[in-house]
Amino acid sequence: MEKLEDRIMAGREISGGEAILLSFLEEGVETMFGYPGGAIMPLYDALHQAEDCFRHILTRHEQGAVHAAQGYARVTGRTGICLATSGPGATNLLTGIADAYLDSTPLLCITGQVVDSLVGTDAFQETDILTISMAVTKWNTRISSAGEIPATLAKAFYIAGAGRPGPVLIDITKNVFSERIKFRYSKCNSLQTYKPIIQPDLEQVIKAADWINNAKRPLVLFGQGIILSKASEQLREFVEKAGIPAAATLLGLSGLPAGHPLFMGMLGMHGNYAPNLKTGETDLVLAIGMRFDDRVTGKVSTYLRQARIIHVDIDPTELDKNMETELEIQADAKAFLKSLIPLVRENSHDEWVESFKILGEEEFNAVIEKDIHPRSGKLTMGEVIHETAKIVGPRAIVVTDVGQHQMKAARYFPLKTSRTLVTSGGLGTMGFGLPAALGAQLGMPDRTVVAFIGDGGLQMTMQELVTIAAEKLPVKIIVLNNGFLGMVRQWQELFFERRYASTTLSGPDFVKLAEACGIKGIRIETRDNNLQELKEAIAYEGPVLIEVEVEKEENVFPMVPPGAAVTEMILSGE
Amino acid sequence: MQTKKQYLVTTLAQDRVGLLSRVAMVFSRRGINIESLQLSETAMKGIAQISMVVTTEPGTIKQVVKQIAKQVEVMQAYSNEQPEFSASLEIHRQVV
Repeated sequence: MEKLEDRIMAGREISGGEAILLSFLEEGVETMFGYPGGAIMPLYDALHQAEDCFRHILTRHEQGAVHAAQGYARVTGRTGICLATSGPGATNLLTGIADAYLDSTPLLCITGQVVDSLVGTDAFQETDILTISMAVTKWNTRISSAGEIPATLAKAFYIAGAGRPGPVLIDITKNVFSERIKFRYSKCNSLQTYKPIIQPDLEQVIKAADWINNAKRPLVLFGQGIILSKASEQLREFVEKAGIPAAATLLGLSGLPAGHPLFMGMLGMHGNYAPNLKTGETDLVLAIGMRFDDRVTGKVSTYLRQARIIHVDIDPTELDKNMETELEIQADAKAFLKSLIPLVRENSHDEWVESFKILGEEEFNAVIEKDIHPRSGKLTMGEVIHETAKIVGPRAIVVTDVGQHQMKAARYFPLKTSRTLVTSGGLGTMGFGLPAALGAQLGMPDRTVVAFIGDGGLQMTMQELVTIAAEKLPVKIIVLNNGFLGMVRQWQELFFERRYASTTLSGPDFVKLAEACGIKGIRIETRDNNLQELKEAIAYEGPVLIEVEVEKEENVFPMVPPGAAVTEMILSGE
Repeated sequence: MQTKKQYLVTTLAQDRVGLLSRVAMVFSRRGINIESLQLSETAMKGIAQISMVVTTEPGTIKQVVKQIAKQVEVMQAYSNEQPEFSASLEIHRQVV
């Protein structure tokens, strides 16, 4: 790239492909994920000549590339980059883009497009990706002449990361990559039509502080907004000062350290017993950076009926969307907490906090103890996750796929620091885990990345085992194999009179599969020697796939039955 | 179930290819038909005004308007029941 920079210094023209790569350098991009093809080939040609500047990961499917970019973005906080060609390349990105849209992940997807003169003619590998992706992107646009590259990419990076982050797709016609331009880049820091509100209205904060100071049984519900705005410290300071118990959504997990005396666990359908039940008793809820998703609220008409609700979110469309609230504050979570903390009284609500602990013990005795310390039978997901957490320690990053193992990981892996959980929340994308883990490992090369994946989810994107092997990424892949699509089977058991329609699942020999892909494979079938095999397997230096044969018909409890109020949460299926 | 009403939704946005699709998408996603539509450039160059008539519930219209306003190109969106609407009528009267 030095040569390229020299040419720019000399005021000479560069190609559109080179201009894109230089724009990436201006934005600090080091890693990207992608898959070449006809329409995007000239960009890859430019990339070939800039190999020293970037690490491009060739995934084995475009869906792998986009989930990997998501994993990278989720652990680093930076915009994930992925490249794909036109037509099928572009459409293969859509699941990941939709996932990133719901889970507020900053992504920049570049898709190649047929040459400008052929657009609209049903040319080979032409698809109208802009229209197709419109509903799942924060912004998308086409570049059809090279002169538009610097300004459009600068705008794309800004939009992806500003306010509530999200995916941006830029479709670039093939002619653009070879057109020549003089390159000048300036970063975008604001837009006339898009101005996220960061600072809260002070009068509203004063009102919120007054309500908080006078509440008898206050409760904080927080979501990923805490992580995205880097507000973990402020949240901790606030709950400690005001003495308020707090609970997280699935994506909010790691926003407060597990084990903190005021952290009461996870909300929602498979969350913890205490925070769910206590939503029926609280008199004041402070909801920060969360969106009252239906998996959190259960039957919404019964949720928090007796409580006053303060809802803080950077995205105004979330305010008053699912829940009618008494005080809506549009602001960045960190900015809000910073202005709130000086206004709240030092306080404690000992009896109220204690009442959570009592329910917590009830849940421990009825569910958790059996899950993490089973005395007989086959291994359980809970005990494998619990033991893995002890082995890998608090700095590890946990990636999950979707289903029972995901809920068990969220419940039993104690997350101590921010950005240590990468999971598909809003879209619930099976197949997310393996590619997201490879992206997470690239984002955090010095941390242990452990991926819990079910045998169903793994079979959706298992081609990425090859990528992990080729890139020598030391991901610890733990396949919790129960031979079922477990979560669907659980619902069939509980709500469809055990009619197991299409949920019995055969799979390959995962150990042999791993070995065939170039990854060490280990199978664990018993808990002999206190899972010494698990310790040894995780200690392996390179990538390793650990297939664990777990109890076939294990269920995730507690559970809020579909359509029920969260206060009707059940501890067992009986 | 709230009673449905007819609303006029006004959007001011930076005009560009795909703007109308993005705005219309917010309605079609919820199965709301656009009964009448006008798009024209305003006195500000590059800024378009889109006026749409739709029939839906009061709770839905509030959400829909916010979701339109959230689109990156959109500067302002409001329904005929919001104060912005009366203000714009007032400006219109003064100009005319």
